[in-house]
Amino acid sequence: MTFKQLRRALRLRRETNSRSGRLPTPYCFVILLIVASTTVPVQGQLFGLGGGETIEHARILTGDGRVIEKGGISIRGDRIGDVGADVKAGILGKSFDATGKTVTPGFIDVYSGLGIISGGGAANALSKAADGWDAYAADVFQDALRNGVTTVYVAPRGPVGVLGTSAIFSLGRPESGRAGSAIKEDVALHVNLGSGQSALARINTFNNLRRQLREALEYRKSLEDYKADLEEYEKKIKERAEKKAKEEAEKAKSGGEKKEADPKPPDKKDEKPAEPKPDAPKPEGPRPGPRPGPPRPSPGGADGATGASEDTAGEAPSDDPADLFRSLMSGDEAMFADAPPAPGAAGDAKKEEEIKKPAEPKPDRGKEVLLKALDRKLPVRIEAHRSEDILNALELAQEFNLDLILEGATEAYLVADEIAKAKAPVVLGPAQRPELRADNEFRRHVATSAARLSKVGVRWAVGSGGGVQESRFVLANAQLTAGALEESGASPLELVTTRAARLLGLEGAGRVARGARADLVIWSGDPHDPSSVVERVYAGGKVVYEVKADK
Amino acid sequence: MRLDDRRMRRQGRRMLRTSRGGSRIVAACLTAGVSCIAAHGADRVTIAAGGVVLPDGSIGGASTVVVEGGRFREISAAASAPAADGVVNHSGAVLCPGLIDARSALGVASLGRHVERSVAIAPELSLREAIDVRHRDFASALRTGVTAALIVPAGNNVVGGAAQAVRIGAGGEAEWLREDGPLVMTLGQSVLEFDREPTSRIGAVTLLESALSQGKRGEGPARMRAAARGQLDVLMMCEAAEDLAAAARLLGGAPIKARLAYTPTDVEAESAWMSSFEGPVVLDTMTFATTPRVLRTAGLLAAGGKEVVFAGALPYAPADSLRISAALAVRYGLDASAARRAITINPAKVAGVAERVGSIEKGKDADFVVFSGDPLRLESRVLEVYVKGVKVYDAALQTE
Repeated sequence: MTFKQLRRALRLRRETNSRSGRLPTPYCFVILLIVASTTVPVQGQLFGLGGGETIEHARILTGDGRVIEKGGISIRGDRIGDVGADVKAGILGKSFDATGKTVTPGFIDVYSGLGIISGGGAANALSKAADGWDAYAADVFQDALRNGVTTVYVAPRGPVGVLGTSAIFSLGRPESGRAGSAIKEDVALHVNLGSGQSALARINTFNNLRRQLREALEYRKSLEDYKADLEEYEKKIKERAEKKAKEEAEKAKSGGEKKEADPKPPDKKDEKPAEPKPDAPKPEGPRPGPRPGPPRPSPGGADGATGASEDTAGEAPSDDPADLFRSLMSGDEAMFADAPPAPGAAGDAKKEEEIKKPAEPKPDRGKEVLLKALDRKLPVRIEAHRSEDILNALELAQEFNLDLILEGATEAYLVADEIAKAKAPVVLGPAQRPELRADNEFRRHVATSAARLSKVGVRWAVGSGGGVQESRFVLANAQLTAGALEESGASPLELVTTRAARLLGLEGAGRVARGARADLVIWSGDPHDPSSVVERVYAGGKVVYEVKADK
Repeated sequence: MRLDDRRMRRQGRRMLRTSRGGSRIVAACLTAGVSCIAAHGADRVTIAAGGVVLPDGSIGGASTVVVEGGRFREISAAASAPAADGVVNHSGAVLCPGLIDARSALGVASLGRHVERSVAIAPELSLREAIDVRHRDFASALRTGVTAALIVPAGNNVVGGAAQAVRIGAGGEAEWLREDGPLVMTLGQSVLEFDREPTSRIGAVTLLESALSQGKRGEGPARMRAAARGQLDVLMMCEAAEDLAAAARLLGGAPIKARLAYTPTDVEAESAWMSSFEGPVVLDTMTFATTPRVLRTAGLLAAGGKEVVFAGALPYAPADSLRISAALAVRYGLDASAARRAITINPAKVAGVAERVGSIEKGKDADFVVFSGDPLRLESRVLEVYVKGVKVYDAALQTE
């Protein structure tokens, strides 16, 4: 019955729209008003339209701290249609009964090594995490999904220095082989200051980095210089051409009506309409009248039309002054082919001063990536663990005006004030670092680092640290970190959802809200309780994990 | 060039400066929490808590725990504690027995080599001779809720001598919880050396077999005799399935009392050998990097009726390694109560000190931790630590 009503309503609307005029106008108007007054989501809710599923009766942790004790979430395509206590599947819609279960946004790892193919050798600014990512590692992804992780930020791997650009991936289940896909590439430029190295090696790494940035700036300067020189050059060429044209015109004026009487060339195929000058030495095509230059051995002339044309064209560059000029000008023939006075001017070019075309700098794509970072179009994530390396990173960011994010930052708590002053966010490494005994760059790791950063107003997030397996436990990692916060500055869930999304610039992800990306996890209980099990995961609106299908 | 030179020098200076300052701060952090502990003279303490980890590993509701003379005097399920003097109120907190690391290197890690490499069968060695009881690692462990540990020799000898069970007391100083043992034995790659016997797996098994049969005949070193007759318990550390098979054959069955430390790789196939050993199986520390296959073993073993223990591997493992191991195993199928037992009472059994510590029960030593919540929830913090009824750590007193 409802379906009929709907169809009727739709038909009516169509009819009103097409102004068929079968219904009396006031009636039409009333129907139009009713249909229009219900917003699209309400219509979808009423009838269960929109194609997606609706999760009902769930306890919803929205990710930004709000809790809906009993509510629904409707999915429209890859987005969340609506969220709220009164969201229902509707009569025609598909529903998932989540009574007694908890729904959270899919977790986001802000620094992960999940799926990255290990064993990378040298790296540079052109290296891309997206190129080294194994989109087919379905088993690894399923294990991450089993722990509620749907999105990973993957950094390029490498030794020290500039490592390349990162990417953000969405995890899924295999579809024609691939189980994961990139949702954002070239997110940030990664640099490792090599805190694990000896002091001298670290200084060397840092100076190299600084030199690379300077060279990138010099490269830009050379590009700009080239552009200016080129303009200047083109201007000169143009001026000369104009001058020639003027001279020609004057000559033509004094030379009488000869030009007008000249017959058109018989073969227009290769002709440029802009070159109708009779005295121009044209290599292409036979031409009546005397030709300038030395006599050719060609059988040309008026009879052997096509054969002559090919022949002369082949020999032309050797003795034709126009072509000589052309070859002098190092390429860019297209430009000169269009330059109208070129053939005419060529005859006099030798007499005049030579106009040198500026040499174009060799294109360097690596430097162009660095330039993007220098223009703040690409954030720079610098991994530094020792306090002096962190200070170096801050100094570099100031010198080159970089959009800096500190990575790892084991000793951040020792230089928290400096970090606060530089307004650089920090991505802390795993909370599970050796604390009792370590003699490397992590030896001064303390659990309370995040608390110190919070106190001085530094924005921070926590990542899993780039290991292949660790991404599964982003929430456990956040729980450990949050546990160390005295005044509980952040809930663990918020850290791996809303805050993580904000740090990565993933607007519309990491929260359960209307219009957000439909990355949702249905838990048997509260996700902070290790006994809770993930029962179902949606990524981009699609079901990508189901506990029933797992083993 | 000169600029860079200057920069380098400046950097060097800065490096020195920060590292000195840094270590000072860290040292302060490390000592502050433990050193400012007031040795409570009070003989009787009453603590009201929101929950208590019971001997079976489950969490009981609001309870009142009375401690007297360093031991638990009374544990009563009281909805509200009597608001009297001398009552410590932790309404939202959970009382948990002090955590126990059953495979630890606390206090010996900094002393260099602490195993005798020249001999493979060394039952006469006692690890306690090598333990620095005032090592700061003990205090660090205490802050994370670890109150006892079984310190075991590294697995470089087939028979590595006696392990030492310790309790971490006030000021982070270790004391012996047990006079002798258990006797630690190892089979695996790590016992093989090229310049002394054994040089092969077969050689290792043969050496152990002859040492045991000697002991059974009443010959050889005293500890070996005692172990062969079941008077001294044995902790058998195995590295691979074939080691486990050999160990099960040599040590399985009466009268030898042997417990097993092992990382199963194929639980279904190996559980038959594992059942030759009594008591809980000590599993390796679980970390965020542990593969799903290994993470599942604890749950599978428990489902097969075998109790488990998670090695803390302190100080080589991260702080909180015991709680992390338990929480991750729970995510991969282990029952939460079994997981709490695996870091409290079960390691006490492996260390042979379960009659004194490992659970909150009347008559046992009052070694316990006040967690801000369920110890398996990793955001739960250690609020206070009590050893023998005395508060030895208070997070509120810890300065940054």
